[in-house]
Parts: sequence; structure tokens; C-alpha cells
Amino acid sequence: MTWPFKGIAAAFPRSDLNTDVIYPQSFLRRTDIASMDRHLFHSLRFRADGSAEPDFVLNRDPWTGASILIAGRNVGCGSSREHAVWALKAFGIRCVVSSLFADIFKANCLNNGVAPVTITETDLNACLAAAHDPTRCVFVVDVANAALVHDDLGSIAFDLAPADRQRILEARDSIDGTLEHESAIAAHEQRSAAAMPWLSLGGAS
Amino acid sequence: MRSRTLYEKIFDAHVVTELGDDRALLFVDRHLVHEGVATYARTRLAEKKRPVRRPDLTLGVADHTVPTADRSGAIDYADDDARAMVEDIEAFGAEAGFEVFSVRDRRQGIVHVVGPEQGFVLPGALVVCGDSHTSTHGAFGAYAFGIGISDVEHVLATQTIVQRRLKSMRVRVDGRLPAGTTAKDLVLTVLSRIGVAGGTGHVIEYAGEAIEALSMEGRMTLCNMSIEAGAGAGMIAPDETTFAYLKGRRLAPSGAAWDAALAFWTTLRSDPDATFDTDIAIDAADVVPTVTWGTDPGQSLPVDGVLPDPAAAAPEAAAGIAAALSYMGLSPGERIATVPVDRVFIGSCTNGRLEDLRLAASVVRGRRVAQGVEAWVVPGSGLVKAAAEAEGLDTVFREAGFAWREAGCSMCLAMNGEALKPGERCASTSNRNFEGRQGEGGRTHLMAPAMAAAAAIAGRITDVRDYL
Repeated sequence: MTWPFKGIAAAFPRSDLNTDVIYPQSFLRRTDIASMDRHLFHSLRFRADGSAEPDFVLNRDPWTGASILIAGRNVGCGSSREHAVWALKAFGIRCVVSSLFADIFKANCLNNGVAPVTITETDLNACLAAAHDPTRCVFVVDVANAALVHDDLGSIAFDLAPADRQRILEARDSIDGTLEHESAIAAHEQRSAAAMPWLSLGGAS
Repeated sequence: MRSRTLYEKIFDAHVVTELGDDRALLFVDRHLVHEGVATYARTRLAEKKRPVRRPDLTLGVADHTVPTADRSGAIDYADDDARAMVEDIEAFGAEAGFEVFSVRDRRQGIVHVVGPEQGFVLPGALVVCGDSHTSTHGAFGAYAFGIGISDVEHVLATQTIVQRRLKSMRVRVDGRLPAGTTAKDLVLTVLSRIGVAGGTGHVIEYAGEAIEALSMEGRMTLCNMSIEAGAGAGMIAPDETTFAYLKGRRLAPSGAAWDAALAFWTTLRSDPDATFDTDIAIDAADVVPTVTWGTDPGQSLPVDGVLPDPAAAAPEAAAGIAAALSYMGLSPGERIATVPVDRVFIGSCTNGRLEDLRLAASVVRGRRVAQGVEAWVVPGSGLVKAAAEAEGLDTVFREAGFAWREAGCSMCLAMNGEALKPGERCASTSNRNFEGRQGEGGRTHLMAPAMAAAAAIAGRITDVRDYL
């Protein structure tokens, strides 16, 4: 994955978009992460007979090829299901734009290399309007410079903490990074066992 | 030293190392794992040949995919994937060396019922689980939050988690909750006040006379639904109620360790002059039996209220109200207490504990479920079920026409295949009324256990105070 990238943005302006809607529970038992895009927005994207709902944005050109999702305020609330992010990623979404992210959803985005970028409500409305227009829906996502770049709207600064930007750009395994702190973890374990022995378990049966 | 909130004290005590940019690596004291996340984490850890660092601090439970129909014989899973997830957590626990309460264990149940029941969750502890309702455990004065599956894997491999310091919010509830109201009505009231994004980026501490008067079950109901406000956690300072609940539990400390723990736990509270970024005050006397009418948990009404009219709403809210009414098949101006229900679900990590079942049974006793209504009780755990049966509650429910089922998450999220049919309307004691939450096209009204019981008897949403 290279950054910055230029891609098509799909607008889904509903606020308080929960992860049940992004990835319904009927498909939570599936384990093939790479094909979870088939269930993305399932109830909205498909009719009862399984055919595509022609009005749904991700079923319409050019947004069938979207790599950016511009969502309403408070995106990803509710369930912690990472399947929601896996499904977005499997569809090809590499960046979600909103004015407010639910905390767990944001962490799940970061853990999967999907950039969760926060912009102001005013900028969000401008981006949503642009993304609704098939002739104006292309954005550049520049994580290093914390900006969305658009032909008409210009450069829109977004909020993503420096450490989070670095994680997206480096795409490094976070467990490897943490294991570099092995001695600090071991020291904490010793401190904690001495100061709060009641937290130790293992003798129980 | 600067004054600190309870949350800040627990956070600080768990810092393994500061990572810069306001992030810290935190030690995890207690990790609850369920089969809906274990499958993925097990596979990915095996691929990288990473061991589970602290199986002794990990407790596994099968709850999300297990069927809650009679399990005394063969277990009728929704499909092979559901069965495989249960088998996977059993195998994972065996190979990694952590305890698993699987589907045949009498202690099996919903992860957020089982953890406290076993004494696994303690005041001052940092608790995580790959489930958003991990906020439940804040009822013990723990810092407890849900995480995604990548972070479950991270905790299993390192026993740590990376977090930022969140803002703090205090919800003070003074006075006493009126008769006929419970913690469920209180939390629905809080959610309607602050909204489903009102707690995002914050940890909520609940305080005040009405909170102190709540049982541990009530406190768990309240903290459980903190995530519905988007909160990073909900918590309540531990007190005598907390200690009495914990004493003698299997995994709680005993003897000298109990005394030492107690001495520490009694210090676990926000400093008197600690400052909160946001303060909310609620008068408990204003809380009434409350029901959700829409498609998020913030959309609720007093049970004697009428449904909102989009035409009378603020322009930015009108479309959302209209969409929610349309999905729910309801009309503006309609009285919520006249709406008929098809199904009743009493259970879940929000309201599947013994106190909840007692409150529901007190309404049901000597009455009959209305014709055409299918009503279920799904106890939160095998031990809750056994305790309820010891008091004869199963008989009360069965004689009234309820189905008395096995423990599990069941129709709260319908991941085990137990679901509403399209268009069915359910009075539910669970936590989310999202579109399709209990089954595609299903319509959910959230309420307290006694309210759901009254709805089963009346065949429609009704005021429980008429049944007391």
C-alpha cells in the first residue's frame, strides 16, 4: 500500500452509523476475512432475493470502485466487531472520513491500515457534497501531511495523531512493536505481583 | 500530588511505559475471551507462532454462538461455523492453558455475567474483552473496555494494550429511584439526555445517592450500556455493596490477601477535588419507566409518552426521526403504550442476572402471556439459571407460558441464529435497538425486565406500575 493515494470517495451521510449496519450479525460466524466485502452493508446493499439494490451508493458507478468512505458524524458506534473494518477493507476502502469516530471502530481501523481521518463538520458537508457528484468524487489522501486534497475544495487538513499517522504509513505489526518493551512488561508484572498480590491467579481450580 | 479521578488513578497504575503522543502501554489484569473472537485470534497467533503470555489472567467462555434451546441432549447449532467456533475456543484454552467454560459447563454463560460471578473481575483492575459490553465490569470500580479482534490478539500475546488518556465525565444521580423503575430506566434516561455520541472519548463515572443505592446487578446494567453513549468506559467507585458481592467468590482473594485487597479497594475513589471535563446531574425522582421507540438506544420515551413528530422536530433531526419511525412501523403522535408486541426477550449481559429475573417473575406470577406472543427467558449464565430454579422462578415463567431456556447471548444480537423474523416486534431487555440487530427487519423496543414481563402479559407495551 502506498501513500498518498488518489481514489474515489463514496458518500454515506447517515450519522451514528453503527457496525451492525456495516456488517450484520448473520455473517459474524464467517472466518474468511478477505471475502467479507460480500456482506458489507448487507441489508442496505442487497434486496431480499440477493440482487443488488440499485440505489445504494456502493452499487453505483463510479462508487463500485470507491476506496474512500465519507461518513456522517459518530461513525462505527456500537459493537466492537472488527468484521466491519475487515469488510470495508476487503471492498477496497482505505480511508474513512468523518467528523467523529467511535473509539473502538477507530482502533480497529488503525489496526488494519485503514486511515480514520477526522475533519470539521463544515468540511465534512463539503466533502459529502463533492462525493455525491460522480464528476467531483476523487480525493487524494495524504496521511503524511494530514490532508485530503480535492481539485475544487483544495487541501483540507484532517485530524489524526502523529503516532497514528506513523502506524498507517509504516503498516508495522503492532505486537512486534510492543514486544520491544518486554523488559518493561516483565518489570510491571513483578511490581504488580508484589504490590497487589490479590491480582495474581493460577492457584484457583 | 494533583487530584485525580478514579479512572486516572487506575490508568496511571497500569502504565507499563509511556509511548509518546499521549499514548501509554497498559497492563491488562483480566482478559475475558469468547468464541466469537477466539477463532480469529487463535489462527493468527498460530501463524506467527506467538504463545499466550498470561493464560492465568485469561478466562474463556462460549456464549455468542451457542443455541439456548434445551442442551441436555445433542446441541443444535445454527450451522457448522457456530459449532466450529465453540470447538475452537475449547481447543484454544486446552493448548494455551486458560480456563474455558464451554457449552457443557454448568458455569457457562454470557461473558459479562460469568466474569463477575466467578470473582474474576476486581476493583482497580484493568479488564478487557473482545466485546463492546465489557464496560459492564466498571460496576466494580474496574477500568473495563471492549476491544477489536486485533487487540484481543495483542493482549493474548503481550498482556498489554495501547490506550490514550480519555476525558472524564461524571453523571451524578441524586435522590432515590421511584418504585417501578430500575437501573435500566436510569441508563435509558442518561442516554436520551446525552445521546449516543455523548460519551465518545470520555470515561463516565456514575456517582450520587441513587447509584450508591443500586445493587451490583443494577450497577452492571448501568455500566453495561455506557458504551451506548460511546463512552470509553463506565465506572462506579467500589463500596460495601461491591465488597459484599465479591467476598467468597471463587476467583476473588481470600484470607490475608482479601484483607490487603480490601484496604486498597476502600481507597479507590475520585479525589474530592478532582475535576471532570463534563458534569451531568440527574434527579432520580424524575426517572420513569422508559422504552425505546426508535433505532438507537438514545431514542426513548417515558412509557406514557407519545411518539415524536418529525414535522415538529428541529430540521437537522427530522429526517432521522422519520427514518426511525418508518423502520419501526410507527406513526407520529401514537402512544407508545398501545404498541402491540410479537415477541418478548428477557436476558442478555444487560439484564440477564438473578435480580432481573426476580423482578420479571414478580410481574408474571399468577398471570398468563397474551395470546399470540412468544416470550423467552434466557438466563445470563448456568449459575443464574440454577439459582432461579432453586427459587422456583422457572416454574413461574413456565406456568405463565414463557419459554425457559439455556444460558447465552441469544437474541440480544442473534449471532446464534435465534432471531426475529422481518417485521416482528420485540419487547427486549437487551442493549441495542439498531436496525436488524435482533434479526433482519426485526423491530426492537428496549426496556427493563419487569416492563418486558408486563408487555408479555398485556401483549403490548404497557406501564409496569399497573402490575405491581
